[in-house]
Amino acid sequence: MDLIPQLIVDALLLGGIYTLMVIGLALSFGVTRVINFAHGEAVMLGAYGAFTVFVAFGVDPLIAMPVLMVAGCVLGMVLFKVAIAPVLKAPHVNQILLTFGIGLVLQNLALVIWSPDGRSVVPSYAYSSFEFGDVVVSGGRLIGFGIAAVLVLALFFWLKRTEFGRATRALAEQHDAAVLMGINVNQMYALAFGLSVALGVATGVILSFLGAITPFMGFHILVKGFAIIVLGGLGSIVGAVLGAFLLAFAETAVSYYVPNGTGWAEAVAFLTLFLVLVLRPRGIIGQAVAD
Amino acid sequence: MSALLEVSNLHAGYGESAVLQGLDFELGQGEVVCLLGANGVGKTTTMGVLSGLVPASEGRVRYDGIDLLALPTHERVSSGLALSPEGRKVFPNLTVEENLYLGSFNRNARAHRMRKLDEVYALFPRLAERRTQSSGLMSGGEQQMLALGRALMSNPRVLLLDEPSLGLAPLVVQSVFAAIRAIAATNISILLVEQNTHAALSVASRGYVMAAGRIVLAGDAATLREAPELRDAFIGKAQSKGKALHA
Ligand SMILES: Nc1ncnc2c1ncn2[C@@H]1O[C@H](COP(=O)(O)OP(=O)(O)OP(=O)(O)O)[C@@H](O)[C@H]1O
Ligand SMILES: [Mg+2]
Repeated sequence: MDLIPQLIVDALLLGGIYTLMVIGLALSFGVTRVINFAHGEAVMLGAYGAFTVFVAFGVDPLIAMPVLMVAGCVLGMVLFKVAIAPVLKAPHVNQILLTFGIGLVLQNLALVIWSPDGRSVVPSYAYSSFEFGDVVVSGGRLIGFGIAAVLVLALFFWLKRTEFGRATRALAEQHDAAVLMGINVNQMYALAFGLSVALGVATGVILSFLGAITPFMGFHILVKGFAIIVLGGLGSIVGAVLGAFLLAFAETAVSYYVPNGTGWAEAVAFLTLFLVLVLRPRGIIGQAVAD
Repeated sequence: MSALLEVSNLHAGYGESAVLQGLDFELGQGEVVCLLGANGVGKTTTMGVLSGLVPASEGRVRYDGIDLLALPTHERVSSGLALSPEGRKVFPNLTVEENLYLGSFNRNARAHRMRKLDEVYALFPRLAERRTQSSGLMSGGEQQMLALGRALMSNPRVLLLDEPSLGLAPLVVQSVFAAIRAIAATNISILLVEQNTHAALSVASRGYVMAAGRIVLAGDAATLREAPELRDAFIGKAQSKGKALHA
């Protein structure tokens, strides 16, 4: 049997979800220039949010998602104003330590609330699948891809067509000139950060019905996010999308063609990060941290 | 009658280095006034303080009766103060029209956006032709027109122009200054910072000359054109260096 069509379909579906995962990271970095090391925890909390609502009220994750996203956005904005705004002018190392610390606190909070056991949400579509010629398509992944595509397109539309979206792009491009346009920078920073958390939460809701939810899942997500950014370029949203699909294809190919590949697929992101940092130590991340 | 913009005893700097050391000047309603001076004397710093990008350490700025220095930049913009910055600072990956829309980001200006857009396109037909182009791909002169147009989009009462002639060919400078004259004719007050003294004094009715963080000479355009102090202010640095060598 020819594996290529199946590989392409699987990689595309995964790439869409990775795009959603990384686009929030790219948005908050592009605007505030702070790398949010706790972005994986926004994803983790989104997943637990979906789990909790599903178990407690039997509400489908897809229905809970808008509410969870709004909650994530508000919490993100508050977190930004309280914790991150005060360190905007501090050295990058301080910012990294701060967001990293926030991530650790959230991990431990999740550990206390939900225990270390892996959780999962199983709506009817989670393990459904259908055949399309020779290709088997997972229903859960297809739905995840669809939601991711809608959200990513909505973000593009917002950036392109709305007053605040335009201001966000202006701020990412030319800080001082954006200030001169009368853009309230602190407010826009908080908004961009809140939106990025909301996108992280949405990613978590999707992941909640695709695999196990654990308090430490955020770390793997962060590594994947960085691998994507290193591949695609930091601060460029189009680059982030390309990077997401590159990583998805690489991981899927490894899981298909390497013996016991599913385990190795998880290592692709680490390996990518490692290689780029060794071969191009002044690479994209290096520059971002230095400037 | 008191002036629209009144700067008194203004001090500002960067960290340890003091740049403005007791600056006084004023700009009346509908006036075009130029601020001249040698490289590094603090003209851009002055514009920065007026627009809110650079904090003042001492002194006062009254604008239309209010304490300007107490307002954050975005409130200064919505109260009618707009800066076209040195080096233009357009948003390079945004289109010309997106840049102009951003000029009217503040709520007061948004209400007049379409009317202002028509005015700007009438003043700079070139920008209308390039509406959908990325502004970073345009020539320096076109970018300067865009920076002026973008500032006009905020529906300003006071326009602060920092070196609009910077890096432009003489013919382009002429057309930029023709536009500034046309803007002045609409009763917008203009504070014009320039290295190109000749061009500046051709549109301004009055001017000030800065040296060592202060105003050292003030007068109407005709007087300044003849003033030997103006030449001295521009070669002031060379002179003081010369003195240091002799000492
Ligand atoms: N961001 C900054 N940080 C530190 N020093 C600065 C900064 N900006 C300007 N300076 C210094 O402040 C002094 C005044 O600079 P400013 O840009 O205001 O001069 P200027 O009169 O506009 O000069 P030019 O004609 O070259 O534009 C200069 O000595 C400059 O080196
Ligand atoms: Mg200057």
